[in-house]
Amino acid sequence: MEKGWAEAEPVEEEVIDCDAHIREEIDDLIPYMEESEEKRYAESEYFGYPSDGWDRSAGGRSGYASVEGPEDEREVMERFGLDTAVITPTRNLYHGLIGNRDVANELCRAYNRYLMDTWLDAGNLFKGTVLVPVQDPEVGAEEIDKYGQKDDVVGVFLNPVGPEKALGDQRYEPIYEAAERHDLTVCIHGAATTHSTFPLQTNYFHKFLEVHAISHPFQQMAQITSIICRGIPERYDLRFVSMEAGLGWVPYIYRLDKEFLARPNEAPDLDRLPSEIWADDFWVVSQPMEETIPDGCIDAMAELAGGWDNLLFATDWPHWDFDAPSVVKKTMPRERWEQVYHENARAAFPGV
Amino acid sequence: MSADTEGDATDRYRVGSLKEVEAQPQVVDVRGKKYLVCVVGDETYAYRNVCPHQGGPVAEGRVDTEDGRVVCPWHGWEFDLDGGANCFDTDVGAQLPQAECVVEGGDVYLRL
Repeated sequence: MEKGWAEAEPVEEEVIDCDAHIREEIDDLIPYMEESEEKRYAESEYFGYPSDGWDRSAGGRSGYASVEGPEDEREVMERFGLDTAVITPTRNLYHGLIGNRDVANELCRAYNRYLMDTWLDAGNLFKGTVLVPVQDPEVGAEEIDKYGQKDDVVGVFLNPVGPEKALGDQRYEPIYEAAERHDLTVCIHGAATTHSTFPLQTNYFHKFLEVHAISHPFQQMAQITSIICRGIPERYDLRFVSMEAGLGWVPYIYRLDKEFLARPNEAPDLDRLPSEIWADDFWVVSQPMEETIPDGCIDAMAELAGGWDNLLFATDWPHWDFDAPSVVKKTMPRERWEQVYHENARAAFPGV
Repeated sequence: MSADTEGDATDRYRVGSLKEVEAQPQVVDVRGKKYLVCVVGDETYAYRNVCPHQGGPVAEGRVDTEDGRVVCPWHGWEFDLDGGANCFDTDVGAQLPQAECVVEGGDVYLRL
């Protein structure tokens, strides 16, 4: 079943979609792979991106949509009234789960070449984030150095799904160094999937309802705990964006404050409380927005999420849990729309 | 499917025969807007193709007149066809926008 389109008029305000997915497939990337064993593998019938078998359709209830190329995305933007789209992957949300480091590196390089060639050269509606392999941070730094100064590259796409150690570990510092070198925003975007690594053991659950409800927030909590406590934001002048986990989990950061105050010796690089680091250096995408919070609580939710200055809008189209731009108008006060739709995005992604 | 493009003197647009609508819920286009028209039990209902959750094309979702529910294809939210209420007690997306529906002389009309 197709997802279909709405009859609503496009949003009139300027909207920067901070998480606009494409549905890239291996056939899109193969032309961008160098002749190698990895390319021959990708061309073979043995290749497949990590896949979990969870039913995103809710038994065929939720329709499917795709964005395969710039024309598809332009249509989406026109229908919703979007002005700029920060492009993010779909298959490569699972890139961190690829065990073969050489394959991971080659796919990463191919994806970035494909992104630059097919999307960023197609017009200034689209902004890019450089995919980095968590399996090989040095290669990640090379990729950032390759594209970091390119017009319309605004960030680094960092996978919290599948890294061998939590993302605050010193092994990932080449990525942070390179991101700082090029003043790129580090985007942390998870996936509702199942794997043996923490915190992805969602085969513990029975249905995708449980899996999706906890996957993204738990991945953000785990990785941002590590990033903050290992002092990455104190040692590197960086901006971070938390994507696709909504807002409801963010108040956890105050628990982290209390934990830190009880054992500051275990986070010696921190000069600020975790919640201060969050408010200063992190932005959070509201999608999927917790629209069902009790009436009158949105201001409190925004404050606990770091403040209205830290909230970003994203559709996440074409994924099933996307937010239409109308969600901002339905859930947020009128005086906040411009901030959330585009003003905050300009601070989070200065190149946008 | 399109209903009549010209309304009658009382601004009614013929959707089809009652038998047609009973046999199969209809998604009709009237003046550029779509409506779901269906029979549930002994009543005929019409709803705008705008999900109260986020505005999705709810009329194009899964319609089950035996079960009495329609499921929006955008996010899977479910609404009772006999009145349009959300199947769950939620303030968000609580009610499908309903349109006036008239059955007369074996035909079903939308009155706009």
